[in-house]
Amino acid sequence: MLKPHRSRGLISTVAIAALAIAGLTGCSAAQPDGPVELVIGNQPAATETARLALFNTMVEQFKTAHPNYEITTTEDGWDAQTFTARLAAGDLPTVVGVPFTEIRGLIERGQVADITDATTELGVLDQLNPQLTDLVTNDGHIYGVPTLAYAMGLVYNRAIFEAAGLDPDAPPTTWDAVREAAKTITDTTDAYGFAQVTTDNQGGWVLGAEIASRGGQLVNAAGDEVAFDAPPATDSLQLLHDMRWVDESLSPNGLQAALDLAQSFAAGQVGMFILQSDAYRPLTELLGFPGTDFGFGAMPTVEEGDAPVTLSGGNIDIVNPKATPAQAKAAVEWIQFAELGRYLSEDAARADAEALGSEGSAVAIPGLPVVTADAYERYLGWIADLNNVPVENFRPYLDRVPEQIVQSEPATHGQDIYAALDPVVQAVITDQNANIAQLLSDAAVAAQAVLGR
Amino acid sequence: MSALSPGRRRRRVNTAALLIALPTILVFAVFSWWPILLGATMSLQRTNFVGPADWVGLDNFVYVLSDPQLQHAVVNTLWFTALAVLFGFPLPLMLAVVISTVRARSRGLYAGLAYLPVIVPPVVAILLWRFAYDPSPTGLFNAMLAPLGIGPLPWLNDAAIAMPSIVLQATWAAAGTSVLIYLAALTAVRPELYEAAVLDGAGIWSRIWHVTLPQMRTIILVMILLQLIGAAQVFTEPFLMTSGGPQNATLTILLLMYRYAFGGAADYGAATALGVLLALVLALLSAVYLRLTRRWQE
Amino acid sequence: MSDAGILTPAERRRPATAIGLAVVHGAVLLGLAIAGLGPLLWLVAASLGNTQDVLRDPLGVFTRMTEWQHYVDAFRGVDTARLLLNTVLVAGGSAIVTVVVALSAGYVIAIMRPRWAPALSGAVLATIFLPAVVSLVPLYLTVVDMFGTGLSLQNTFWAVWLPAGANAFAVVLVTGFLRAIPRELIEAAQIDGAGPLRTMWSVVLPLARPILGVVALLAAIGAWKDYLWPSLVLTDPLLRPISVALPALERTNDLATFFAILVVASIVPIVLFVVFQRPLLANAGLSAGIKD
Repeated sequence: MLKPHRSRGLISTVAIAALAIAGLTGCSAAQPDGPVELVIGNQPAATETARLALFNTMVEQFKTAHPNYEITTTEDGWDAQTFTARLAAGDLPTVVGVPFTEIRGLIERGQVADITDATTELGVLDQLNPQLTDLVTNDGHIYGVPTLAYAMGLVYNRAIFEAAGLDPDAPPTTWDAVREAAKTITDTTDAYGFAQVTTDNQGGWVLGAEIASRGGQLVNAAGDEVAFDAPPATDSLQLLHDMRWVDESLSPNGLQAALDLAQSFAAGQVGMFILQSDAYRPLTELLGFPGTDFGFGAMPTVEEGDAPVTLSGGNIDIVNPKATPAQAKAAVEWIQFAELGRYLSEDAARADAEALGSEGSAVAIPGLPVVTADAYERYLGWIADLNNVPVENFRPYLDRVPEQIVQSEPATHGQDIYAALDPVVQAVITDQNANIAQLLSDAAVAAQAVLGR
Repeated sequence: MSALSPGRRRRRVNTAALLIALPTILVFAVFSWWPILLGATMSLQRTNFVGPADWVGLDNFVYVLSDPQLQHAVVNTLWFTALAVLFGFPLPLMLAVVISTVRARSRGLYAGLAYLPVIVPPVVAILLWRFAYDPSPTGLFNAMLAPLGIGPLPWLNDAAIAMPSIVLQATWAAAGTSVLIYLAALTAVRPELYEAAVLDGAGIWSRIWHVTLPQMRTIILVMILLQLIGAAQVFTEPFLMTSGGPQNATLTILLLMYRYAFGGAADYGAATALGVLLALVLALLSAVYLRLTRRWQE
Repeated sequence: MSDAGILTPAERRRPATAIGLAVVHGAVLLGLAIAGLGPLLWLVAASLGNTQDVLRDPLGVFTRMTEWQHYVDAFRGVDTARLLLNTVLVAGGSAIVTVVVALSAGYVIAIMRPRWAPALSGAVLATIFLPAVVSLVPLYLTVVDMFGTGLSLQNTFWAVWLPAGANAFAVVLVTGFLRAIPRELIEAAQIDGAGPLRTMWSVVLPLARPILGVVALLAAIGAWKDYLWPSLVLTDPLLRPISVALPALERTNDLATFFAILVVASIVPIVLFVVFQRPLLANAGLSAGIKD
């Protein structure tokens, strides 16, 4: 096992250079029965006083329960650029959260620890939502624990709906209805009816969700061939094209990442868009959007009555790939205690809810349960009076959750496929004469090349 | 002249020079040359930073050179460089010359204002520029151009004008630095030269052309080279404004490198291979440039 | 210190030139004010507004400057004094190291000119060709464990100051500037028996003040802006400069309140400029050297 984190031993220059370059694995033997070092990441910042206090309390409780663990904490979290550097230097926290979008790549590259043993031993698997375990599993091994999950759906501005004469409690449920609603909004209000994110791989990601909602796939089951060059993609892009150039109900801004779109939405310039339900958080906490105007419906479908298909997003806690088995176990114990604890104990749930609420943070945004559906319902019940999120605004989504299908993202190279699709979405929105068929086949070629690497 | 023989004098100079250059040599050796060497060797490997790295020879280079995105990136980077040097070079120089004619007391004000865009936090700069470049008729620039009869322009959304739009923003952000550097060079021009030129009957433009610019020529030549290299490595503006879009029209070499390194694939081997290729090209161009301009240097 | 530059004092007095000059200066001043001051004034106005309004109607922020409490809210729980102190230390130290390295390199390459000067110059210039992202991980590995000695610079300011000193841009600028100093001045000092250090101190340094001022300022600003590297090496919250604290503050504050933080953060470079503008803009001229 390689050094867990900064060790000051006397290793020769050559070995260090070799570690960096040719990387001799030659390393210390397994740690004997010494104290187990556990570095916990994602500590809340000093400005998040209530959350930090709660975090520290939990750390103390954990320390008391495990006196032989040497526990330190750090504010380090996921950052694409610093992750690699810290991993190389062995500085990564033992347990840290990563976004859903990263987990497959990390697993592929062996940059997360295999925690099958720890999770089985501690019974974590039984506590988790089976719909999400695919995401963290590879070849029968578990590589992470989802701690927060959201589904994609239709985010809409209830106030704009009302101003346009649409029923805010009944958002469109089919793509044709979305187009009509978009047109109505554009015609009767100052806002554009619909908008689409298009950059930072999110264009491809949202398009992927739109394709999935029409029964399509991005890659084949084996994950080695692209499968998006097909009618579901063509139809999705055609809809975007028609909304943009025929109805003129699509925001003409062809270069938007999620934050840009959120800013427009918060400014009341856009009526609807497709994204995760936790868009609620940045909209209300950072951009001053009134929570009461936030509406969320399930992914639109092709025909009325079809089951909505969605992609997911959220946070997964992973363990440093250089951790010893003892450290991995300690890490999973922490995850179970700190992240899943709120679903297992009413006291923990309420303490967590109180901390978030006191800072004006959204407490529990309806999304996908990380734990089993029953446990999630029970949790929501426990904190019903403390939840500052207007759960009723999510009814159009929640009512359809039982029939909702959560589609897995491509097992490998998902981000590369999204990256190949970004330009396609951008083209459709910025170029009236974009040849959709040609664009898709070009993207398919580019994506296929990456799958082969 | 000192009483030492030329040989001893040479050795004296060499030793003294070595001692004086020691801070530089040490700092560069530890924090620049060594990491660069290590980094360059990563271009011959594939690694996940967990286990040992695999030596893959020139695989990464082959991959990079056969990536269709590379063509886009190279063309775009050349385009950006041409535009950036065309606009971004004369403007700060002219500004600096004008500012140098302002009374010394007020010069600080002008220099300070020119310099402010450099310190505007990126999040604010991006917000404002995106608002300015909003393609709808209510975007700032479109609203300003409307009375002139110029229809709402798509700005960043159009593959053709996205790059010039970015160059404008990049020039705005970076001109201040160049202005300050040119001002420093301008203050070193000896007043006697101007007085002599005036005596020779030279007009204002003539003085600028025959005294000011030639006196600044070393700095100017250096700045052109640095700006060319900097433009070839442009990253921040396309990254923040367009993420390389629309349709990779603003994808630059550095942005492609970033995508390799931090995009989904986390392919450091490809990223460093591209970096090495770029470095080789830039080194070659710089050598050519320095040789060609040797005539004009002191 | 004469104002004699491109224009003679006599010319300035002539009405036609004076008016023409005033017009040009006025136009430039206006342009610079809009382009430079505008965004910062906007930032201040926006920090006093309400996030929704700022997003809806960006140009109208100047009419709605009411939310003064943002300046209180923004810094709740933030150790502002420490953040600013760390920022000043990081920026200042980086500036000093950069100037020392650039000056010594420039002096050796441009003034002393030993036989190996071109090699040193080339080796320094070469570091600009390879983008920094390539050397990020190896540099971090070096800093965390210097050549296997176990010495780690992590969580010391040296981890930021020393790499900042390896600034090829600064070396190239100073070298270019020093090259333009007339040899006669150097040789005059040597005839007087001055050694290299003496020559540097009494002849070169005064002449180089403008470029050193610029280099120091640019190095300080670069350090103030830099987020990635300090976030890697300064993990101790007590050592963090403002640039590293900003993303976390952005996450936990709404936009307009965050702007208030940015306004305070922007004070640092403005103060730095005011401090450095004297050496930079002083009409050093070469008359100083000759008088000696």
